[in-house]
Amino acid sequence: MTTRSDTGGGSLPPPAKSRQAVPNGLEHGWLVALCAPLLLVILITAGLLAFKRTTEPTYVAICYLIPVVLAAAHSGVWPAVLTAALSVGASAYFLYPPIYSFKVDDTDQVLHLALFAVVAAVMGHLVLAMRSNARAAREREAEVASLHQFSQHLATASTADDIFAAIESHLGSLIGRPVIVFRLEPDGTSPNSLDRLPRDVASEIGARLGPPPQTAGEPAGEPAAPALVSNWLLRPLHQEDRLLCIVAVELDGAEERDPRRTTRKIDQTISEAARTLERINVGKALAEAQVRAESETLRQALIGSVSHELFTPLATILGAASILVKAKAITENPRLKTLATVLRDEAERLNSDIQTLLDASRISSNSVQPRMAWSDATDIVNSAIGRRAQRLSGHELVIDMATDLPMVLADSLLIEQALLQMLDNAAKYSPPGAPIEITVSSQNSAVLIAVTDRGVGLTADEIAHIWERFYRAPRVAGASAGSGLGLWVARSLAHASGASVEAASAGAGLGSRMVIRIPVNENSPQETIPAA
Amino acid sequence: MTSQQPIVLVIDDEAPIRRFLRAGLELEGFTVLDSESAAAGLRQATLRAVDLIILDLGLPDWDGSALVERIRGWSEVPIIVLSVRANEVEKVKLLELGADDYVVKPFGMAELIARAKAALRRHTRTDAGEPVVHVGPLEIDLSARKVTRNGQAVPLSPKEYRLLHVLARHAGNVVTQKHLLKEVWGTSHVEDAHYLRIFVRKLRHKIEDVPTRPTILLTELGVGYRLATSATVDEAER
Repeated sequence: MTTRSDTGGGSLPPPAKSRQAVPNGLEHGWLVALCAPLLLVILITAGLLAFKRTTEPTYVAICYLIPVVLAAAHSGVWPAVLTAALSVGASAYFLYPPIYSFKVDDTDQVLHLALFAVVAAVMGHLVLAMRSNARAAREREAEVASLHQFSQHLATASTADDIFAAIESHLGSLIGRPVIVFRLEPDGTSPNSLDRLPRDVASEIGARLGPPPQTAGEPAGEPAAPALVSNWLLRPLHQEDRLLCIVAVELDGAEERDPRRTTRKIDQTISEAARTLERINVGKALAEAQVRAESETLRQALIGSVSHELFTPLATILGAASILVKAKAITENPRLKTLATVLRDEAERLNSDIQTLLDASRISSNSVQPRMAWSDATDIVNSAIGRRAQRLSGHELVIDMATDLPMVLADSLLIEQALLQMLDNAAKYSPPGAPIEITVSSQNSAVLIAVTDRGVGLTADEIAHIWERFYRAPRVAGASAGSGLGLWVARSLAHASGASVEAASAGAGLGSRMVIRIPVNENSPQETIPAA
Repeated sequence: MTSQQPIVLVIDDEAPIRRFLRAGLELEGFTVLDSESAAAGLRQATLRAVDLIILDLGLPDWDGSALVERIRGWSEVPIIVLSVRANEVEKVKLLELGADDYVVKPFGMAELIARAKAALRRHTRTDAGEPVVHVGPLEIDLSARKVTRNGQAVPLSPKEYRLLHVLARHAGNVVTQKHLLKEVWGTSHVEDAHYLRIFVRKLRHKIEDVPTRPTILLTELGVGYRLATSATVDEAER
């Protein structure tokens, strides 16, 4: 019935400094606040004494302003006041005659001391105001940054889980501690995260998220009111009368003693967040995410059923055609043999076109999962050539494979698929009978599989676009049918296996060379286990 | 079991597939029984003594692997599975559960026949003890443990012979990497598969005409290896 969205380990940003920041190392802070101004006052007194300008009150006043302002900027009101008092005392005692007495004879000097006190007070006040403004500005900046991050998360969220994770992270950084969000789950499964909470908290959450009371007329209770259960603060969030979720915050010991204050503070934060959520229209985003998830499920189901629907008749056609092609009654008759052969060949073509479509669909929905293993590039090429033996029979195949190639880490099936696309391409755009060269070689830190043909070639512009989805060079688009997907699929599958692809050509009509480049790891195994 | 008209049981839920399989198999001299569900197939298999089972993996009522396991529980009858592309994991799993080979839909009949006959031969070989396997110029004498090429002995290390022996016992059918690793090295860690590749490369240098274009010791990408038979050679020339 409820669920907890999982923010995952790294996604929760470090909580911003709480508004009621208590300085760490409490004692240390105060010591510094006390001693530093004291030291400064002493230093300045000593300095002034040394320079023997003691009877010039202006110098004195200006110099003593320094520690006062520093204390105000660094430590706050009371240290500033203390410093001011110390400064007045020090100047009266050490600098203004009679020396070593707090009494000051000269009325001018008394006036200056008084003026100093006033100026110190004003300056201190100004500095304090600046300090708190700066702090407020920093806090606002942090809030805006948090909000920005939140809206970014929302924009990239593709499931309801993502959205609630974003809400959790945002609230967490605002309040300054981890927050858990519980929401209504459409399928009614009970989450195990609820088990981690104390029983009374879990049941309260369950009750609130559960179905509304059956009997009409019964007061619905305070749906929006926060509740305090054990040491947990629960606050429901609504959007347009609909319960969105319940936010749970665990209070620590200190706050538990004065829950009302914490509650109010947290409540305030959450209310603001709720308003933000409304503005960003989280509800709408959730609905859209659900639609996206549904459409993806639908698409997968469609692909699954389409492939099954298409492959069964195709399997029958190919199977039957393969029987006919060999049947004595057919092979005896050249015309029938031709018919059977064309039937089989076209069924094979249909097969590979459908496979390409399905591959393209898998790539688009990010469902290609490479399984990497140490592979022999020679094996991959031989397998591909074997599969296309029929289709390439009209061309002279020139095969050149280096011996002792290093093993490569690759998904051999994906590379084979990529190579098949290149072979089909070479056959398609070459004149019948033209040779097609397939070479496997190693170069620097890679193994290269190259398919070279003497066909229509590629212009520089075509080379730039040839790997794009649905691209068909205008030059050939009229003369032959095609989806423009083949080479895009080849590149995507090669990339999925960690390899890269290249196309090169001397120009239009001068043939092309397509290369799959598989990087070689330094850890490529070279030795067998003890053969004996 | 008659070797004249071996009895094949076809288990596939699609009627058109059953039809063309029946036609193709009967043309090759098989007697065909068919079933459209796993339950029906299992019933037939227990009632009649069948020589071969062709099993589609997409059956509605039972999972293919469960059926293979069940059958292997009481019979060593050769089993060929009909699979779809991009399902290597399932293929390997079925082979390890005891299936003899597979073909990927859509497939050519010749491929299926070649693998079916290889599986049947293995069965009879175990019964009758046919000792010598011929693959092109290669002759592997399984009982004398000798390998000759064009009449000349091929010097092989014990492990090299062992690899060839395992493949020859399954000649024409695929053998998974895991099975080979276990039989030859005693390890079943698939992470050691790269050793197997290098080993096969060295072996090919000894027995193949063109080591980089093998016609005897063939690789089945993502699954394992297969020793060709003359039937496989013919089929490749289709």
